Amino acid sequence: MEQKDKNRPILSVSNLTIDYAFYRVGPFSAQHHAAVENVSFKVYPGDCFAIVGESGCGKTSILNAILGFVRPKNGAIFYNEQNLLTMARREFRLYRPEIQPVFQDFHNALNPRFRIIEILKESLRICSRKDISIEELIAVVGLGTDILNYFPHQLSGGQKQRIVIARALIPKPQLLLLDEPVSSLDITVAVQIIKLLKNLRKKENLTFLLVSHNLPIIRLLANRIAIMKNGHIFEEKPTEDLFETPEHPYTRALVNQALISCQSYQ
Amino acid sequence: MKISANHPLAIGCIIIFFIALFVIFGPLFTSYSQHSQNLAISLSSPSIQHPLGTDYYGRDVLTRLIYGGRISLGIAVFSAIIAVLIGTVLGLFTGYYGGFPDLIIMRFVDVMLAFPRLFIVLLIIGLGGSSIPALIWVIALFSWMEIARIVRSEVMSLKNRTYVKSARAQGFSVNRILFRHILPNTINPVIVATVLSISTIILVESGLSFLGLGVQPPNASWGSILNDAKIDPLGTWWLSVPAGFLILFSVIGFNLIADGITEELDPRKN
Amino acid sequence: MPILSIENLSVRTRKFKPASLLEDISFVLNPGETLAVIGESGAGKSTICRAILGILPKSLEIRGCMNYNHSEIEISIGNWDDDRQFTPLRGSEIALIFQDAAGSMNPLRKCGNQIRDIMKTADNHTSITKQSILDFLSQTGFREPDTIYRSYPHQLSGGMAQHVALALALAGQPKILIADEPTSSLDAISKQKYLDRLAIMKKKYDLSLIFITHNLNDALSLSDSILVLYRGRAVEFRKTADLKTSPKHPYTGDLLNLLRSVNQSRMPDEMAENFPVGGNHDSGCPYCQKCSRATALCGKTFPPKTIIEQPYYFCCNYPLEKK
Ligand SMILES: Nc1ncnc2c1ncn2[C@@H]1O[C@H](COP(=O)(O)OP(=O)(O)OP(=O)(O)O)[C@@H](O)[C@H]1O
Ligand code: SF4
Ligand SMILES: [Mg+2]
Repeated sequence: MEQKDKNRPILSVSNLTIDYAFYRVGPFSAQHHAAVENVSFKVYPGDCFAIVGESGCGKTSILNAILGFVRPKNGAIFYNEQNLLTMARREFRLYRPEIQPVFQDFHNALNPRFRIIEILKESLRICSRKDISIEELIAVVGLGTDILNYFPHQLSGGQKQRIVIARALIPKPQLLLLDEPVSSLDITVAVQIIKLLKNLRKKENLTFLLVSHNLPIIRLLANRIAIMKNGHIFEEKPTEDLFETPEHPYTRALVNQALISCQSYQ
Repeated sequence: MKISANHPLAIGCIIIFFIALFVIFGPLFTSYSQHSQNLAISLSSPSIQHPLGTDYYGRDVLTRLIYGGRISLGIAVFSAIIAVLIGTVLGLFTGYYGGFPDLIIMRFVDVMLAFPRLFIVLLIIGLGGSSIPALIWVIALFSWMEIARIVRSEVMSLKNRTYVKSARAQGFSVNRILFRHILPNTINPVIVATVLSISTIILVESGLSFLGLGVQPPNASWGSILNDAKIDPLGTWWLSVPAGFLILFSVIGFNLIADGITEELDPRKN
Repeated sequence: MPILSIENLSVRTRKFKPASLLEDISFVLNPGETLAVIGESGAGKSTICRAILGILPKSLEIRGCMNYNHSEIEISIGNWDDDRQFTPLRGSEIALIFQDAAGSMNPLRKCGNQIRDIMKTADNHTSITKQSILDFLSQTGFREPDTIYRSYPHQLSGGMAQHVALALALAGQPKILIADEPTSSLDAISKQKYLDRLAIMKKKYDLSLIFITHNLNDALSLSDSILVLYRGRAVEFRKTADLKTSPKHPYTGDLLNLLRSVNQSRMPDEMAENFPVGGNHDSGCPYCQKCSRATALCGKTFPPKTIIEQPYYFCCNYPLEKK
């Protein structure tokens, strides 16, 4: 399945519209609220593509649609030129391991009743990976074996997020979907996680689709950035271009704000 | 967890402990059989030989309370277990899948809850006869609804937890997600609901037996012993009062335990 | 004369094996100033705010003393288990804002009514007219007080909920406002709006502010003094201007270096990890396993407090020198 062709997008989203229905009185008076409207973008192999926007602008909905958790109203999502939305359930299951999520909410990302070692073993078994031991796996994310017998609530935020990343690597994914991977972490830990992700991308040949509202940190990781607001993507550019020549007023405000807050300490 | 500070749980456990002792080891201390009749001493009031007197057929009331307790509590516990199993499985699947089956099952639950349970059970028992297994099943079949609702609402919130989503994204099967990753996290409210339903079922069974439709002679249950006293409840107080108190205390005991467990499982406490 | 001073605050669990959440924390808050508390997640920032209001669970053992001093009211607290001592402080002298603003409000009551509840308590149960609430809302910066008055917490957007939480806190006319990570779920633009309004309100109501955050940029640009926490210990308490130019504690130094490179959008240099110093961070310096200056001494005992100029201090055996 490995596609080394740099010019063929690994993920291509076109005209995606996601609609949530609210039921006021009964199933007959549904009100619709479009969380994502007519969004298109392409992610090429080896990219780190970031979608930036305020909370509630529809970023997470896009990731959920790619993972098959919500059904979009319109549009298409091509993964390696296969439309994920029209394929049969069984076929979709084959693609599941290749696209793995890392969510923002790492406090809830690990089953609270399992020890770390059980959580990882469970995934190793389901994904039938025999070629890697748990010790090797957690070494990849920079953790020691001492935490294996802990329960999730005994770990710090950074450790939890590393375990989540380790688990996401188990099915040998091609594409990682990162939903605000560092925004609940403080800067020392956030920087370590960013570094880890950067190294992993090189070592494991991964492609990232990243979603966040924190521009300064995104800048360290992403090579393309799309700016999103109220369900629309306004502007999409390589990272440095975006910071130098923001076009849309909202982008400009966002970039300025980020730069101003950075001036507090230079 | 400091159980000692949890008074409801401690008191509830002590009450149920003594009732259980009474029911389990009681036979060691009486020399009568629960069925042996002696019409000569019919309805005699408490005495040394018969600490709680005798009933119409001259049977020792204390002995009958012991064996009756086994039946009352046994019916309650077994019905509650069956009800929990049915309720949990239905709650799990409807909560997880949602959609049309969920709609149908939940409306069915509403309908079941809308019927006055005791009367429906009465009707069925009245038409179909009442052996003890029949009682257990009929009561269970009319007690699972609350549990299904509780489990369903827990599952609906748990299935959106990030760890469940991650498991889905890694291709875990639905059964594995449901039974290994969701079910254990719903267990707290289920335990509380189970204990509570044991106490309601004790009442339902007593009610049925009191009306003469529950446990049939010559077997006894606490409710049927009450039934024996109904011609002259005050005159034959040794039939009505002890049975009444046993029912009262076991219901209070189980309710206290449920209260205590709720408090113990309160995350703010830890 | 500081409005609030905390001396040697320690919070421990009363379990069989006591664990320490906070150990020997001291700081002062001067009237009209802003104190920022920074530290990683789990460092004990929220525990400090709860301790100040006496709302930590009773299962915790609290030691130390706290002095509150504002015009006539002088309260000093030595026994933290006595709830009555805190009653005059809560809401009317010290108010607290949480990160999860909408979650900290009553979901079943309209915002207007919640404000009325608080104003009533503050004004000793005089009746409050709707008009006075609307006036209050427009004074706290809402352009459409009527809409806010009528909405339920869940109808507010994240940013708006934070603004309403601020108004709710102000309704009790507190002298000290404690904000526990109020902006960490907001994006850059709504965050700036919130911080701007907070600054205006601070001036208008003559507040002293304790601002808890893990965003260093905000802490540096907002505060007059900074308390740096690490694993439940106060490692450095300094004036912000001094801290910026000459951090003493290596942890603070590392934080600032990282911040600088992120701000300049450089990838920070490799940070060395895990220096074996033959000791551990429970008995010794909390930072000893990550500190590049650590020696065996650091692993054994917690370094003594070095006072720079009352009340400012740091705790390190081998402090950084001025560059
Ligand atoms: N009631 C309690 N009993 C025992 N431990 C507790 C209790 N409350 C908090 N803790 C522990 O105290 C430590 C400090 O927690 P605190 O919430 O103050 O951290 P924080 O600095 O506010 O972190 P965050 O940035 O995540 O909000 C944590 O390790 C936490 O697990
Ligand atoms: S006391 Fe030692 S280990 Fe701690 S910060 Fe100072 S030099 Fe580093
Ligand atoms: Mg906190």
